[in-house]
Amino acid sequence: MKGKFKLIWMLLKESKLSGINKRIGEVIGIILMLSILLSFTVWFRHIQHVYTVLYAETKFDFIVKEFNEEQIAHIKSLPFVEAVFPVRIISGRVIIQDSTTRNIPLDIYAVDSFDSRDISFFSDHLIIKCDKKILENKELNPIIIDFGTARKLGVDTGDKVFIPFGPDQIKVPFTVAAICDSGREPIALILWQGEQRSTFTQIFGHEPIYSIMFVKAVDKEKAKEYFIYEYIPMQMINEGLLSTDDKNGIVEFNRNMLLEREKHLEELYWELRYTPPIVIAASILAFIAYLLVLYREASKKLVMREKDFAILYAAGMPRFYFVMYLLLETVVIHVPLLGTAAVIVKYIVYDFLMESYMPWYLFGWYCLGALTLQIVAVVINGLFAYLKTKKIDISAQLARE
Amino acid sequence: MSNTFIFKFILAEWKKNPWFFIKKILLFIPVLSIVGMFSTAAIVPVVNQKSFLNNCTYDWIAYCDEKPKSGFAFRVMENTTVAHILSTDNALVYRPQTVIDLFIVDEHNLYELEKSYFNKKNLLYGDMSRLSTSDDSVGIALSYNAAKQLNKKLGDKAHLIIRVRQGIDSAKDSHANLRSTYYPVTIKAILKPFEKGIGLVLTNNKFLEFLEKHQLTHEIDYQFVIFGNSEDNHTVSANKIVYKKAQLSDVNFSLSKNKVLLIIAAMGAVVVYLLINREVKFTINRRLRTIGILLALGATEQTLLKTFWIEQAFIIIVTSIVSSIVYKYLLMEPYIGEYINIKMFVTILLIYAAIGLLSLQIAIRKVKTAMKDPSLPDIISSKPEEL
Repeated sequence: MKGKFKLIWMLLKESKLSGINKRIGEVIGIILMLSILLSFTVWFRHIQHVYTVLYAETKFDFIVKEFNEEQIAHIKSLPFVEAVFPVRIISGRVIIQDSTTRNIPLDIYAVDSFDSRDISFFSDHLIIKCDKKILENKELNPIIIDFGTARKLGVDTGDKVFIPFGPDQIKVPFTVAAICDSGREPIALILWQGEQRSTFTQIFGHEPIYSIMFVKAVDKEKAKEYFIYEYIPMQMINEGLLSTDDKNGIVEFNRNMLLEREKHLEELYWELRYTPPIVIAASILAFIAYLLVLYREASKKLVMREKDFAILYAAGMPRFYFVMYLLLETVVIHVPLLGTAAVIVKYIVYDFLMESYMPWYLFGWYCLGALTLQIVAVVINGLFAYLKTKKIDISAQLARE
Repeated sequence: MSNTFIFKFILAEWKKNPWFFIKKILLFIPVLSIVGMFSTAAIVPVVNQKSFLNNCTYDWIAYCDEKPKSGFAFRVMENTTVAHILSTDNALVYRPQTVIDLFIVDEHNLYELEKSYFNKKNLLYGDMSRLSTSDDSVGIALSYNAAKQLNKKLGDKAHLIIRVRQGIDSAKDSHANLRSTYYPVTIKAILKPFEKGIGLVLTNNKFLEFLEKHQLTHEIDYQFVIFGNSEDNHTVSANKIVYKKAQLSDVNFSLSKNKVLLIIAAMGAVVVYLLINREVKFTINRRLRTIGILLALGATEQTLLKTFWIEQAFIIIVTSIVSSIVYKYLLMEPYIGEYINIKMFVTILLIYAAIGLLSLQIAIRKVKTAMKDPSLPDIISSKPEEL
């Protein structure tokens, strides 16, 4: 048994190309090929992800609009509501890094507390990088910004950024506590407290109104029924439109204002045209190309080692060992190459060249698929090698005799 | 003499191991076409957009709120939905659906189409002059991408979904809800793809009655659009004028504007190059011994190189042609839904062939190096004891 493994190890050592240039050339060629093919397999899924991430990867059920502080407390106390996350959105503001002139227009989500953040666009699942100490320290004035904005500003967690308020552009400092994935939406989350709150109210004379409320429901149907048929939006209360005649109008108004996450996601898929069937089919097509290339590579390898196998078979090595050897070679040589290719795809192709964040929870499945196909390609070839040895039975017998 | 040798040698190789060649071609056809599809999926719409605009003869488009007193203007409803209506238990569901800019023309002004987007050069299927229908529907000409998204073909029916504001307070209130009403349309012509879906409806009396009945003529946000040339002198107060030159410059292939598209295309080209290069190199490795023997037998270097080149080039060209056909007819058109015109098809074919032949040319250097190895003839012609 030990001898057989020695033989396999010997084959493995022999399989490397002679000459450092040739080896480097071979490795670069394979890695490049794997990276590009892997980029294609995940491409359509990534486009879909970028446009739908805020609704596909989040946990809220509804987004409610037109409410005031009293209504928040009431909605929160409803038995079919699990959690709420009310937000004031200050649109069109700019984040500037003090030392440079870079500034990015974005939607600033200002909240009274980070509690229930997990049901919003800033859930932990979408956080790419986080410094919990900064996030929990109100003194540091924490801010969560999206990946694109952080990249454009060249900031990381712990860095200072500034939000200018009012016509005098009074700069309020913030500390980047986390960077999140928001697809193409430039957004930021801040606490509505301290300097930003006082500066804003001083300039504008009032607080910004609540814009949206993320709602997580215990019973989705009941919650939907409530928000359409019973909920009276703030605008209606303010305008005093509460008579029976207005009831139908309010229902229609609520229907238009209530955003159901799942329904909205479905609509986004249709608008995008990269609907799930197309994305799946595109991934399958790319994987077919990937499998064929891997199969051809494995087949070429087998052709090169055919003679060695025949000799070893004649020397008494069991057929099964050839398949084992090929699998071992895949693990020892090709898995690191695939790993390198995966890193290149994530950090160079998507993050750097395409300036778009590729999460591992999305890409990981594709890497796993690629690895499975690599093994499938090798096993198919190994089986061919296994069958081929039958043809050389007679010569092997002769050699043994 | 050498031509006969080349032909006979290649034939002999084919006869000896036909599977070796067929397998290579069969494996490469799907790989090249799929890689081609991915690397051009984002560029094709840009190319289409450019070609669509190039086919138009207008110099500027003026968008006006009011109908001009002189000359012809299309009535346009921007962001109009065309849908296939599905009836479910609870409601009507518009799916699939597409959003288009809907141009409206009457029978007397069909001659005006030539100057607009809806000219003959941009027509793909059907006939623009025969948009009239015999039933209750109106004839529509749709851009290819809109028809594709709608999953409809020539002669199929769909519905025009017209949304009208019905506000609680006023029609101008942004919070007001939208009332939907619909009218059947028959697809009578399909235009080449245009970035944003566009459609042209030929009005008839029934359609006009429908519009009047629902008071849509007053509530819908109509715009009037004039397609004009530089010599045209319309007295219009346009709220927006779009120049064709500006439209064309928006779809150029500069690196700053189309970085991602160009990166993807370049990645595709690299992978095609690598695949073919590795394949040719592998074949050369397998052939080195034969090449050495033939050289020892007196074949000239030139003949051997020519033989190898012709054989491999033949495989590459056959693979390129079949891959381009698979790319156009099996992958791009029915699947991604983009229209590849003959120019694009030939370009793809030439790209495949050019990359293939380039990698062959580079790989063939290896044969030349092997042939120049002084030990090769000695090894082959030496006696066994000397080895």
